[in-house]
Amino acid sequence: MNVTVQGMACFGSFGNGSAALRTALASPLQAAHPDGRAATADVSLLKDFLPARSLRQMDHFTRMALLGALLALDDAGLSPGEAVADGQFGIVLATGYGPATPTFSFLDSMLEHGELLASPLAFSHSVHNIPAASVAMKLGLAGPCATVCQFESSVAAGLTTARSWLAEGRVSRILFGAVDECPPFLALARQRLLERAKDRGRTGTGAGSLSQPPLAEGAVFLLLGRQDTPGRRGALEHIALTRERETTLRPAALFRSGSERDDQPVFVSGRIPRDCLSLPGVVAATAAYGNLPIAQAFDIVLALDGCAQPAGGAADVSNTAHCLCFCPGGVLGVVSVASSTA
Amino acid sequence: MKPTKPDLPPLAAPVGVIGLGAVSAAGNCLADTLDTLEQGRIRLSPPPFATAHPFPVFLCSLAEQTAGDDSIPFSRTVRLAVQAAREALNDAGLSADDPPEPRLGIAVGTSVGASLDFYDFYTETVRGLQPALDEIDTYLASNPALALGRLLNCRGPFLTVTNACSSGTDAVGMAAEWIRSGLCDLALAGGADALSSITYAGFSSLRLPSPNACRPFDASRDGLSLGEGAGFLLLASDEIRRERMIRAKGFVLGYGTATDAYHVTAPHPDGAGLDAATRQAFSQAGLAGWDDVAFINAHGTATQANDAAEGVFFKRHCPDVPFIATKGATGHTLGAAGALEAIFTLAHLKARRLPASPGFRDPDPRIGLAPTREPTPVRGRAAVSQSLAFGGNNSVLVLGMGEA
Repeated sequence: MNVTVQGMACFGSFGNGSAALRTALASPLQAAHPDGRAATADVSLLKDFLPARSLRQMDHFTRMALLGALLALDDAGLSPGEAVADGQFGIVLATGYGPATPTFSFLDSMLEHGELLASPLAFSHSVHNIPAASVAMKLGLAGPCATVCQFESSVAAGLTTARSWLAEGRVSRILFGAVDECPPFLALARQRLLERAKDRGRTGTGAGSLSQPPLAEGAVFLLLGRQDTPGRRGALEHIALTRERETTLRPAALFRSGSERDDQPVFVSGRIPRDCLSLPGVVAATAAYGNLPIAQAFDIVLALDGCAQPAGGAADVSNTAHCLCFCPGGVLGVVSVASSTA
Repeated sequence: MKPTKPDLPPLAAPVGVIGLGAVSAAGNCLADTLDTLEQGRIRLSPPPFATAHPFPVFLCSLAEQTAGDDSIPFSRTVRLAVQAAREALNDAGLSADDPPEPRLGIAVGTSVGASLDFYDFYTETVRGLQPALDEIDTYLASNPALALGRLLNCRGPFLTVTNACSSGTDAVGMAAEWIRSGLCDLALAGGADALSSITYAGFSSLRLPSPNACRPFDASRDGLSLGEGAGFLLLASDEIRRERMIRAKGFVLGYGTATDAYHVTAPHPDGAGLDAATRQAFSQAGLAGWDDVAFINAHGTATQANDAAEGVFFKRHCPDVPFIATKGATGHTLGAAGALEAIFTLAHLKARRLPASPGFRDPDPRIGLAPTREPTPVRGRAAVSQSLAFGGNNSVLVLGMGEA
């Protein structure tokens, strides 16, 4: 079943909105912190939607999720109240690492005050489904709600769940979100991994490679509907998460949706095989949004926006693009996207 | 344009369960576990790590089992998952060592298993030391669904769902839909979680654990007991069952899930989300009402709030339906709990009898209902297993008896 995209929002270390993401294609992301991390995502727009008082004690990860959800609804022309009235909303949140800052805050509270005085607030906010639950609470959406956490494969796995819920008639719309944050400790751990890889003479293209862009953060939210509803932003035509033991590097042969053509652009993310990058039509946009597990979600935004080529490149002749994420263990996440712009 | 409003998910085809595997403090395999439940044995242990808190736990006795590939530093959560997954495969007459199944999907519910669970690395690093990267390597290698997929050399899809304490129930419900829609022919669906010192400290900070063995629904209940474990159901398409002539040990008839949108850590006092999830599950299963339900496996954590909320729900909707609470024998195994309890539900449907609820002694007059206090005959072919979670999540499975 196709899934229509009725609303879309994205922001991150590169800035806010798909226009900023397109701009970043031409000017790769730079480190903004001494530890090599890119800029912290700006969530100040939340104050345009909710009173500041209601955001007290809300961690940064949850703020990103909430802002993404509100912006995607806004893009679809829906207020939260209209979404509640609809009554058949689901939420699926995909994340590579989960809410990392509350986890480390809880550990800090144990170290600073002792186990007996550790912070219950930090612990409860470190539980992976709390950001999605907080979105449900703030928006009043009491429907199905799931969080998926599996590194780079989270986006395809989360979209698989969203499509299932729509197909079986469990909900009529889903707020699908992909969120990851980048606290300093993750940068430190990555640096240790990079140093070890260097010592071992490895400099591949994986998440721990020396050639990767800076660690980044951000969120993508898509308001998804069933195929019988209009998708003003486009549609997701094929979603798969498989472990392929034998893949060739010809883009159309990397997956088997049955509809792909060689001239359709292919966005790639994750642990990209080196040879893949030299193939015609293959676009690696990681330099624009940075190094983060939910990279595939930003590729989907670019594909929905009809950005088949980096800025300055030729316009796409097809309105279909494919987003491949090469995940650890030979797992391949595939999302084929039909934009509404062609 | 106003979208179409489907009332509830339509009737869905039953999905056959052809293998079961369970490991917890109650036993290293399903048969041992069921015997423990039957005998009402309670195997409580002190925490296996240094702690200032006095709360005992339920530990698996499988201390050093292998995951099947010793070159990779898999976590204890993954090793528990492998143990239960292998048992489920063997139970269906398959083996993890056979050539890989062509279209086997993996859905795992977990809490600790996908968390940034590297306490020693973190503490030594913030103290300015350069600790070894072992814990990071383990974390990166041990996302449960991906690790199982790698070890079983299967094609997918793969799902690690982190819906806190309802994760295992959700994984089973989601994998059943994979089978119905043809995404895969076989699916290992379940949950796994090892006991973590961080999680233990976290639950302790919320003042949720009991200083004794937990007593779900008991008048004297004073909190939950953390545990660890894993449980897997091997789901199969009708075609696979026909081709291989495998009888179903049970069926997933329906699944529902809904969040309360009420509170981060407390359930809705009226069970609003639980009601919505139950209606979804009944609709998929084609159940007209509670008259068709033989019994309920309650979430029954033994916290005041959880058991009270479930009690209100039972009293309002199904006061005459027997219910059992099993965490008195397993402890609260978090992401594994829903899967383990779905397995127990199928086993009790097959056995046609429910054991007494371990740890339960005296009814709570504020609840006004009691779980099973003695072996109770099962009348009916369908039963409900329900899970309530942090974040106000509620998930419900309707499970059916297997083929004779």
